[in-house]
This record gives sequence, structure tokens and C-alpha cells, in this order.
Amino acid sequence: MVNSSVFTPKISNISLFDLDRTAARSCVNGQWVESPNKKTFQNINPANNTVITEVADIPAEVVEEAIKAAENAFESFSESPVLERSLMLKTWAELVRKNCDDLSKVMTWENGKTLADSKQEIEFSASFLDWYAGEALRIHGDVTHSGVASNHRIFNVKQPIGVCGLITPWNFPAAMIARKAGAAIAAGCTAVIRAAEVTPLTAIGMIKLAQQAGIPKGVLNLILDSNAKVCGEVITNSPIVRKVSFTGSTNVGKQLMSQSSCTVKKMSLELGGNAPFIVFPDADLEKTIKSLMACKFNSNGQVCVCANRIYVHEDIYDTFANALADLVCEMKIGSGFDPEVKLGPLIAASGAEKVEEHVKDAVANGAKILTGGKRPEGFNECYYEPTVLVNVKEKCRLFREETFGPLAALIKFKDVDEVIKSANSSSVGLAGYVYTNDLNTMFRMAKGLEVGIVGANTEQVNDPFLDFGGIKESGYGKEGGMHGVDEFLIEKAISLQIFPH
Amino acid sequence: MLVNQGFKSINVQLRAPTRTQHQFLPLQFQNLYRFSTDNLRFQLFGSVSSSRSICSLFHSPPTRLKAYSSNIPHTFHFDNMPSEHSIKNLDLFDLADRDYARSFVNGKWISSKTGNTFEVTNPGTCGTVGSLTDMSVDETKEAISLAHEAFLSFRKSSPKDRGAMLRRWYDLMIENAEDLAQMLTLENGKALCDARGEITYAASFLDWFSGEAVRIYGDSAVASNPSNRVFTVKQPVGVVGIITPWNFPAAMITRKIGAAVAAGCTVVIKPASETPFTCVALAKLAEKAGVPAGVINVITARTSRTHGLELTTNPLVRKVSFTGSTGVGKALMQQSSSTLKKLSLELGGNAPFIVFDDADLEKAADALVACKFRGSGQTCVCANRVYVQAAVYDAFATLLTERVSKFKLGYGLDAGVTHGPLVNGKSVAKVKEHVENAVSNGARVLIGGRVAEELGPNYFEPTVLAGVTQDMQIAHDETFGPVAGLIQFDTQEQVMEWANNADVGLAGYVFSSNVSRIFQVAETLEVGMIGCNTGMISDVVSPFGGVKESGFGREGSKYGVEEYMNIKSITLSLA
Repeated sequence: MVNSSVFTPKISNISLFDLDRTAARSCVNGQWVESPNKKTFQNINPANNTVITEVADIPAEVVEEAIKAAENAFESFSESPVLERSLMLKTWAELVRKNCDDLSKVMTWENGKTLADSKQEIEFSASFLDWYAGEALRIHGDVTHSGVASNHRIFNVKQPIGVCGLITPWNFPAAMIARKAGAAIAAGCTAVIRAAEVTPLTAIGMIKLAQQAGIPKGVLNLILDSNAKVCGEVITNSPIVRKVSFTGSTNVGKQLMSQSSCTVKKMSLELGGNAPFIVFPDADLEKTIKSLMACKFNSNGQVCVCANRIYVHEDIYDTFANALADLVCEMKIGSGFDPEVKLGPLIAASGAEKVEEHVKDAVANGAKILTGGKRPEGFNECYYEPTVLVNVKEKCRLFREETFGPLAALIKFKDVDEVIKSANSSSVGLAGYVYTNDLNTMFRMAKGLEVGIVGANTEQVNDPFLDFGGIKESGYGKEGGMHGVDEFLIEKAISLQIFPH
Repeated sequence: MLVNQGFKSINVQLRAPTRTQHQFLPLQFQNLYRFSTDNLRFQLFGSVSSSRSICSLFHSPPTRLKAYSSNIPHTFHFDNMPSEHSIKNLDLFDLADRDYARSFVNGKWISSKTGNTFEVTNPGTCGTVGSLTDMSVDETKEAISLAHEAFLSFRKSSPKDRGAMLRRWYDLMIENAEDLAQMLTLENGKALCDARGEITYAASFLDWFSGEAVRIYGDSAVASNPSNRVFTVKQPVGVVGIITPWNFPAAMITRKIGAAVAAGCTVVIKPASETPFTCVALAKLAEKAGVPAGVINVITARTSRTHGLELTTNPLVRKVSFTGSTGVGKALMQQSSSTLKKLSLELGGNAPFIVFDDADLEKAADALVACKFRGSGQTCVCANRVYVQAAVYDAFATLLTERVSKFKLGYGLDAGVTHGPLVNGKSVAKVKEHVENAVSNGARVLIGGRVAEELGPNYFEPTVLAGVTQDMQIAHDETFGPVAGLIQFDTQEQVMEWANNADVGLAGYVFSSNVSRIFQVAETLEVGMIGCNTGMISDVVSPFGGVKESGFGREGSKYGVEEYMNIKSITLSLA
């Protein structure tokens, strides 16, 4: 076992994360609150199973209070000048950047991802806040004439939808808050945020910075609890909440959608992916492998757009596999705080177990391990070695399920039709990647893939300028881009009759 | 302070109030007293030929000289001395330890090879603000070539970088807002409160376009032929020639350059010779903000015509954006036709301001004050023809006159002043002519109506005229001064006909509480912008521009950047 001190960071501003308290708190109506029943749960460092802190376990009735606070705040916030909201978001972005050091350390501490990944995520988060600061000023509806009644004018105006429930995951504990809350604020909405129970401290830091940025009380409420189901139910059942935005698994998404049906809430669901990564023989191999490394192993493969099924053309299959394995076997495992380390622990033992099961299942179905394929020695049960598998077949589990771990599974293919058919055999469709220099192949693939986002000779499909979102069981709704704020707006058509003079 | 305090000896160093550089007067003072910040009394030895010559030393109108003795030693007593500016950073205007400010070409501050300079006059004191290098047309030509070279790389810069430099430029403008506002008042004359407002407004365009730089959307279309894909992309048009007016010396520059830089264009700008220092300062800040060399080039020159000719005929310039008079706009358009340049022309207006009898009169009067008298009426969107329905005509005239009587006309830097002088004697003459023409044809002066000689030759009193009719000069020409001429109307048909009886069509205003009427009027008026129950229509998110002979093209808003871009369609066959 590695010396535990390398797993514990020095945080300069501990109060930003409530680390100066016996239990970290939630935020309701601008107040930082403990649980009325004094219950707490533990925040664990996945790298060594040590307790980082206790967190107040917020019960359902406080979630109700938070929703009411958001409802009260909505009355004035929805009327606030867009310039003010824009400035708040800009200031929030600046504060996030200013506190990047502490935020990234806390993120690595509770999530396990490397400090480099955490820092990248903090910048990514700030870039969303910047983006929405600009979008706040650009809420455009349109105006048209009625084709039926010549004295009618139709104004399509956009208005904030109301109180939003934002349910965010642990894999991007800061960015998913920024991406949702930023859009909500730009629109003039207020929100109750339910942050993942395993990454509460990053959420606390983000919300405290939002407060410092002048975002009024009640606009962003933060709920931390040990049981996502309870909070999710309160949010989806509440008639006050008019919108739910969720990033997480497809199963939970379906449940939330079902619950939301009773009050017909508007929803944004950014659910699981199972991204095909398709390499044609004419692609630049070196660049493609570099791209795959970034796509597959960022945050230890715990990314919804990360490549899950890697299709490599038979002509280059072996070369590609060996070159990839050569790079992967050199990736250092360890504490996310060690600058040499490329892969930290997975979020929990269950994360590593899933990778292990997928590897075993693939091997049982004829796959061969080129590198990795086991738990590393000297680390706890949250670690798994970065793995490359070849000869992976369609009947494997990883074909139907997102692995969400450091496993690169290589599948051999022959032609465009075959690979499109196989890639589309999934029930989900978030991201897909195509690597080729051939114009026709590229556009045929891009059109044919049943996904919401295509990386064409690139793995960079996630920035604020792009409308992010999936199709099929990856959900619906867009985040970022020119349509991100629309998710938090209603469109109202005003048909005005102009009486003749 | 105007004068160093606490001296007893002779040989006083005097810093003239409106000079932007130190001036040492070769006169010997015996006693000099400053009773308050407004009053100055002194004696001096030496020959001063007249009261006027001593006034010119202080850039003070003669009327401020209370007492003047021809005895030796002379005794002078000044009253209401114009406030001195408190600009902290003279280098911002290229005047720190310099005799004249320079032009900015390809990242360098340069003087004309001719060695010529020209002076900028403070309209409030008729003194000199400072001098600038007077560039030749050949030098403009050179600047265009350099802007073109810069374009070849700048067009490939990332939108994110361009957005970031515009945002830094914005931050720097806000940081230097007070210095910028004071200079704006010195060279334009507008009251400091208006100048501060303009700087904020001007800066808001840089912020807006920093956001627009990363939001340049082309689109994709489903082609008629199923094996084709159609994409449209937007690309910067090239070198842009920009010619800006003196009435908004800061805002007209940021509104154009902000859009051009967001698009990836490079520019050669010729600011108005009345107000070039604001432009010099904006270039200094752009340089500091990291805008690359050659992207923004400033040509300062006394005359506009020859430089305008070069900008409109040089084949390297692909776009001209001009704000100014319709007459000049037409000439520039004709010149631009030889190389078919893309054009944005924001020309003269003659805005109708229509008050119906069901309007909230108090609000309408407030709006007219804001709309008509801002910048002493020297704005292209300001109300020029005020139509008031018969039933409320007298009541409205009274409300307006009450409000105008509360204005404080005076030197822009003086405390409490709400309205400053006009930009120059030519402007004053036009306003005077309009008032005289109206009065000689039967209009009545309710307030104002004269030049406030006691303040200086450029001060025209804010004026309200009643009994103005459609056939008077003021109803046809843009007055561009602080005169509200109230025309009575009876019916909506009549006022619509009158309002649209103009060659130009920039802004219009309508006041009524009836929703149908608002839209009937708004849709019928032949203008590019309408204020409904408001006199303030300028907002970065709202497209600014006119119709008819007010020109074409839109500035600000989501359409602003498009003026500086070409649309290219890409049809891709996958057959």
C-alpha cells in the first residue's frame, strides 16, 4: 500500500468546502444548513478508503423547503436584467478560475481523477459559465405574421420556465453543475441542485463561489444526501418544479422521466453512452491513437462520451492494437495527486468490479488481453489496470453496456455498412467517432451513426460552443451551444390582433 | 487646479485649463488670488492688449471676465472659470510630453512625413484641446496595404482569441472610463454626464462583440439532390475602411471596430477631425488589449474627403462602414461603386416623435427630453419633428417647457451642467437658421431660442417652439441641435402622411396607450427603428440602422457581425 499522505491534499481555503466543520452542509435559501435530524454520511477518498469528512444527510422535508425557496426567489430573479445575470455568471467564472487550485485538489480527493484532469475540468466549468454569460444576452424569439388573419401578428417570446431540479453526477462534479446551473441562471430560472453523494465537496465549493459572485439567495440551492432516490422523488413529484435536468445513467433517467410524467415536466436527460470509435485504414494512425488515449482514458474512462466500442479496420487491426497496447501499458496508476500518474482509482469498488466483469466476460467470449486485464497490486479495490482487449465480439456485455472504466475493447471490421450496422445496434446514442481521410466515408459515417454527437477525426466533442446531447436512450435536450439555454425557457406565442384604425 | 496655490512671488506657472499639455505663460503675475474654484482674480505686469487676449490665455469666453483694468498693473477678475479637466493619463491620448498626438499604423505610433499637424478645438471654450499629426493620403494608402497584410494572418485567428482581446479591450475602457469621458467632453463639448454615458455605451459594444466572435453561425441545409450536402460558412470580408463622426466619438468606433475584429477583419479608421483624441485613446487601449499590429489602424487628418476617396477606391478595401451625413454617404457610395465594395451606411435621420392624445403625457415629455436633448440634440436618432395631437398639444408643450427650464446649459466639465455647447459655429448657425425660419413663419418660442453669448459662441439655449408647421425648414432638415419644434396634428392618417414625408428614415417614436395604434403606427412608419412609449432605443442587442436615405446595414445585435462577413456556401457531392 502506498503511503497515505500522498492521497491527502493541502487545501488553502478549507471553509470554501465546509472542511472547517464537523459536517459539510447543504444550502437552502442562501443559508448553509445541517440536517434537522443530525444525520450525516461519509465522504470517502476512493484512493485509500479514508474518510474525508462527514456530510449532513438532508431529508426530504428540507428538499421541499429548498424548492419553496427557489420558488420565492424566482419571482424576482426571473425579472432581473439580463446584464446583471450575465455579470454574475462572468464573476462566477472568474472566481472558479481563481480557486482552481483548491477546487481541483478537492475534486481529485473525492473523485479520484488525476489532478491534471481535475484542473482541466475546472477550466471547462469556467468556460461554460463564460459561455452562458454571453448567452444570457442573446435570448432571441421571433416575430411573424399570421398567414390566416392578415391583421394578426405573432410574437414568439421566450421566458424562464421556473424552478428547476438539477441532478448532477460524480464524474464531472464541477462541470455538470456549471453546465446546468449556468444555463438556468442565464435564462432567469432558479434551481435546486442535487449533487452526487460521492462528490459533495466540489459542489459546495461551486455553490459558495456562486454566492460570492452575487447570485442571490434562493436562486441556487444545494442538496446533499446519501440517497439519491429520496431527493429525486421530491423534485420530480413537486408541482413547483417545472423542469428537471439530469445527467447520469439511463436507468435512473427512465425512472425520473416516469416520475416527472405526473406533472408533465420539461426534461433534459443526458444519459449513458456507448460510443463507437471507428478507425478506417486510411486514417493517420499516430494521431488516431493519441486521440483514442484522450478519449478513452480521460477521468479513467468514466466519461459518458468516452469510446466504449473501438472498431478498427481489419487491414490495420493488429498494428493499431499493438501500438495502442504499447502506450497503455506505460500509463502509471496511483494517487491522482502524483503528477506522473495517468490513472487514479475508479469512483468506487463497484466501478472496478464492473470493469473486471466486462473483461472476464469478453475473455470468456474469445477476447485476448494485450495489456492490463487485472487489479493492480498494492492498491485498494477501486483500482483497475488500463486494459486493451482484442478480438472482442458482438455478444460481449460491453457491447450493450457502458464499461465506464479504463478498458479499450478492439473490434475488427471490414466495411462501412457492417460497421454502421454494428455501431447502431446499441439502444443508446450519445457520441460516436470516425477516423478517415476519405470524404465519402466520413460523411456516410457521420450521417449513418445513430448518435447525437460525432467526432470526425477528433475526440474533442465537448466544449461550450457545441450543442451537447444524445438520441435514443441517451436521452434528449441539449447543453451548451446555441440551444443550451432554450432548455430552461418556455416559448410563448403571442398572437396579437391589430384592430383597424 | 488652474493655478498653483500659495505663491507670493512673480513668475507664476500657469497651466491653462483646457490644454492637455503644460503651457507656460510668458507673463509676469504680481498677485493671483483664487477665491474659490470658480473665481480667479489676478494682477499682472506686461502688455496685454485687450480683455480678449487675456481671455484666450484661459480659453475663457470674454463674458467671464468680470473686471478688466487697463492700468498698470492690470487687474483681472474672472468669474465662473471653466473647470479644468482632471485627466490622469495623458499618454492615453498620446500627449504625455508630446506636442501632438500621432496616428497608429501597423502597431506603430507614427507622425506624418509631411510634418503637418492640426488642432482640435474645445467647443466649450474655443481654446485648443491639442494637436495631432495630419496624415497624407499616401500614408492612408500605405496603412491600407499594411492592414491587408495583417488581414492575411488575422483572418485565421481563433474566434476565441478575438473574443478574449475584445473583452480585454472592454475591461481597459471601463478602467479608463473617466479619462475617456473627460476627453470626450473636451473635444465634443457634451456634458460630462452624457460623455460618461457614451463611454459605458461604447464599451458595451466591445463586450457584445467579444461574445459575438464565438457565435458566428453558418448553417447546413438539406440539399435538393439527396447525394449533396450544403453548408454555409461565414468568412471575414477583408480590410474595412471606417469613417466615423464627431457626435459619438467613442461609440461609433467600438460599434464598427468591435464587429470587424469579431469577424476577423482588419480596419483603417479615419475618425472625425473634430474628435480624434477619443479614437487615439481607443487605439492605445486596443494595443494594450493585445489586438495584433496592423489590425486596427488609425489615420488622423484634418480633412476627410481625400482620405475617404482613398478608402472607397482602393481595391484592397473590401468594405466601408460610415456614419455621418446623407450627402457624404451618397458620395462614398458612388466612389465605392468602382470596386463594388460592401457598404454599411448609417446616415442622417429626421425622426418623427408622435404623441397621441391617449399617451401618458408625463412619460412622453420625459422621453422627449432624453431623446431630443441628449448630446444637445446632436444625435442621428434624436426627435426632429415632434407631432402632438391637438387635444393634448398645449398640455404637452407646458410639460416639456417645464422640463427644459430645469436644464443647466454650460461648459461640459462644470458641475451640474446637463447640456453642453454645440460642436462648432456651423452647427450653431444651422440651429439659429431653423429657429429664425420657424419664428418668421409664425412659430412661438416657449423657451430658449437664442445663442447664450454669455457662455460662448457655441452655446445654444435648449429651445421649445410651438406653432411649428409641416412646411417649415425644421420639419424637413435635421436640425442637429437642441430645438424641439412641436407640430400639431389631428388624425392618425394625417400624422402618418407627414411623418413618412421624408427622404430619410432612421428612427421614429410613438406614444399611445392603445395597443392596436402602437402597432399600426410602428408598422407604418418608414424608419429602421421605433421607440414605442420610450425615447431610448439604443441597446447593443437591438439592430441599429435605417431605411430610405438613412442608409442600410445594421450595427450591434446579432446582425452586426454579418456586415463584416461574406457567406460562402459549400456544396459537397457524395455521389
